[in-house]
Amino acid sequence: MSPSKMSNTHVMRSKAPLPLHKRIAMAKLGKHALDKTRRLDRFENPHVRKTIRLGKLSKFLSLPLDIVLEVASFLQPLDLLHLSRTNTQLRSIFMSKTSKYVWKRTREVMNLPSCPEDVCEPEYASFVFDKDCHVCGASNIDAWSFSTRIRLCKSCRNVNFLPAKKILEVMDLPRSEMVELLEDNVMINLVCAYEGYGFEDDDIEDATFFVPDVVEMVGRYSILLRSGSEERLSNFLENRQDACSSQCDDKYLLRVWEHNVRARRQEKLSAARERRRESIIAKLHELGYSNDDLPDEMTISGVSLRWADLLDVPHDLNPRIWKSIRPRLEAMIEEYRGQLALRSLQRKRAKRWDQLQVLYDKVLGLVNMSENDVLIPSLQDVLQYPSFKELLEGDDKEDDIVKSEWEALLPTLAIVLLLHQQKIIDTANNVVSKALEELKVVQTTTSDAVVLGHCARAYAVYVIPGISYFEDDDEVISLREGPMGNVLAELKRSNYGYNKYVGKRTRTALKEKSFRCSKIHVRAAIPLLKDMGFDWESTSISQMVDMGECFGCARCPVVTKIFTWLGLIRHFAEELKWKKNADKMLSRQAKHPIRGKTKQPYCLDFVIDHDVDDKDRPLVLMPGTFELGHLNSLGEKLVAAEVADGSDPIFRPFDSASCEICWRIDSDDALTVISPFDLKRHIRRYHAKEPQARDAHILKRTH
Amino acid sequence: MSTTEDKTRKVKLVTSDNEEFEVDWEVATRSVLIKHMLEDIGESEEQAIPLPNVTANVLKKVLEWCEHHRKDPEPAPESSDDNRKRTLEIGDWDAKFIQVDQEMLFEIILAANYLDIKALLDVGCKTVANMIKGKQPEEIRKMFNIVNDFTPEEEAQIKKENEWAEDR
Repeated sequence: MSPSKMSNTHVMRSKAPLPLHKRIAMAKLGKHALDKTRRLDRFENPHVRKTIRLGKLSKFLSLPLDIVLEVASFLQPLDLLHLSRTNTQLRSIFMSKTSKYVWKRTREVMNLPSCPEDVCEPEYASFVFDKDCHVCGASNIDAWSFSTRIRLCKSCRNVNFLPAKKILEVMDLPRSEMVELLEDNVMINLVCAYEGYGFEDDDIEDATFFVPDVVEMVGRYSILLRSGSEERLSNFLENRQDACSSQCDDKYLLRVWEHNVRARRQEKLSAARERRRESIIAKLHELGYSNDDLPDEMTISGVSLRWADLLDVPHDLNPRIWKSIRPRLEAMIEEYRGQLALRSLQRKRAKRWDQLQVLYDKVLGLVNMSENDVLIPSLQDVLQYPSFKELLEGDDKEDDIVKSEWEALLPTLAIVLLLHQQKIIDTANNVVSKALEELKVVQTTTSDAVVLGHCARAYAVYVIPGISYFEDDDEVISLREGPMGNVLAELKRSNYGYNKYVGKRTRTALKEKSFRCSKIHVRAAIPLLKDMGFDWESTSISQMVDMGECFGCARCPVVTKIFTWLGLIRHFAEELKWKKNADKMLSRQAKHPIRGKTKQPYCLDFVIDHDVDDKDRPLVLMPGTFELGHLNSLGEKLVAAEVADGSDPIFRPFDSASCEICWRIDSDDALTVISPFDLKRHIRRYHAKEPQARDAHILKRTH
Repeated sequence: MSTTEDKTRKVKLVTSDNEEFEVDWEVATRSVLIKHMLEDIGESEEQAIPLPNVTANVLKKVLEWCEHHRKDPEPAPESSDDNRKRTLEIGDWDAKFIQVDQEMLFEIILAANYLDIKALLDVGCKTVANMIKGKQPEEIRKMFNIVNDFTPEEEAQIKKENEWAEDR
């Protein structure tokens, strides 16, 4: 070898990193890298499109080599890579330097920047167009790093690209060398960093490097440093700096190319979409449709969105596509015409609606009433009556309501008001009556109070169905769960919906199912009234509500709250619900275990101390007979047990936990996050057992 | 440069299966090979040009193409070949013309190569390239009806080894 050639080789060797396959061999597999079994499965069961015909080009390999290469020169670099990977014969053709001109031509057709001198054409094509992780083979990897000349999946990237400091620490270099490499930024000039988002090329702190490259280059640097040959070291550093700089330039050029390719592709797609749109619209014009017939794409409605979906496709219109989409387009045009007609009709109706609303409010105002009063029908309720409905309907009528027509109906309106009130009271009475029937409560008297109706009785608690709420605010709850007046007022406030007839939001008509009687509250209320010595059938709700906050729960171990009548009913209802839910979950768990054998419930005792059917113990602490903190017999037992605990922590320390017994049956209470003290009390009270460490389902440990 | 006299001249071509075709000089000279041969034999009209590598049915197809493209400009000189834009677009007539079976397609390519009709060779090569374009290696194997002679390990390795065979 001539001295000049030797020196060139030396320069190239110090400039170039190791060959790719050697660098890959030194890299580690990521934690979630593609495993061998899946790779083998992909090899054995490759995906082949059904449209590919077997042997369609079987004579291709019998063509003379120059024609094979001529055909190949019309392909793209990725196709050449695929051809070279089909079998050994084609691999030997395309991976030979004699086919270099073919690679070059295909690259030039794509306006790809020139091939860098440290990589060969196929390698260059692979860097730019392949999508497989170089280490594990995972497919569809978009993030490539041309400055480091490697493509890795996220998992392999995480273990092979590390900050310089971390790599050097593992390499166990002398301190002085590490400082020099890091602080004097020698590293940045030795090895190219990964071009991560937001990374500045000269910021060593943020940069990550391909570990095998650092090991190789720092190793060479270290050997030269220790050899004492300053000239060779400075040559090496100079060469590496040139190499890194040109690698960064290559990266920049490729990024620009990539950006341009994407922009051109987008332009092409947009142009194709525009062409298709124009062709479709021209064809529709030929069929006699005008622009006004076509759905307005600025409106976000079903038909407009579907219309845009058919038009905004980046494929040119051809007879086959037109044949397929024309019926759908015409159906949409018809639908849109229908929508337009309906909208115009709705505008007319809405105008008449507004006029009627003004007239109705005016009439109510004359007798000091308002539509917001609970027993007064809303306009929508009034319009349920045929004679009033006729006023609004009749699309062929003049736009405005004729005042005389309205005035003619005023006597009927007075009747409608009375009928509506009666309807509400009847509904309210019926739903309670039905609840009592279902609860098998036997009425013993037919007193005047009962004759007047259930709706005013102390046990009549109504709810608005379909509204779920999580607020723990009594005021909010009382609006939706309480006496008839409260519930109707809340209905008036919230009962709005989209009215298709007029095309806007209006109050919805009151229906029989708009409110119902809450059985569980009735079930709690009657024994409570009996326990207090009231005649449950005749005591009115207003009588009980007027007593204010004065009741205590005799079943709670400790009195922590003084209740109103409604609060007391709700408190007992909540306890009854808990038991009902626990029983339901236990029976379901017995039939269909939820979490497998290891998570079966180990305690089936779900004790309810608020059982309203248990008449042996009092339910209510009457006004003036108790104070906050009052303990019942259970409360005394619990306090005694807590005193006996002393400083025994029982549970492992935690910040928040749930009851494991409730958790295992998937009870609603399982999500309750409680303190160790409350958890112990819960287990003793509701599961009638002494707490154990396993009873805590720890959600957050104490650190 | 062809003269008016040239355009009225007839050329006789004899195929490998001894079939004789008489075509216009302008059509025959789409082939650079025939053009050079005609220049070599001079004014002799009677002398048929033998085409031992082309059969009658293929020549018929090639002449159909030459006839259609008789008015096309002269092909560019050889030197500019590498610089021409190598797109895969084919004209409508050519696309229809080349819709033939595999056998005939490769025969046309070979004949175009032999007769040195660059534009026709391009049409043939583009057609084949269009069929290969965008296919995965396994799909190419199926089209070429060849087996994968790489082991799974070799296949994984060749994806990583993209250097020239001579540099490995």
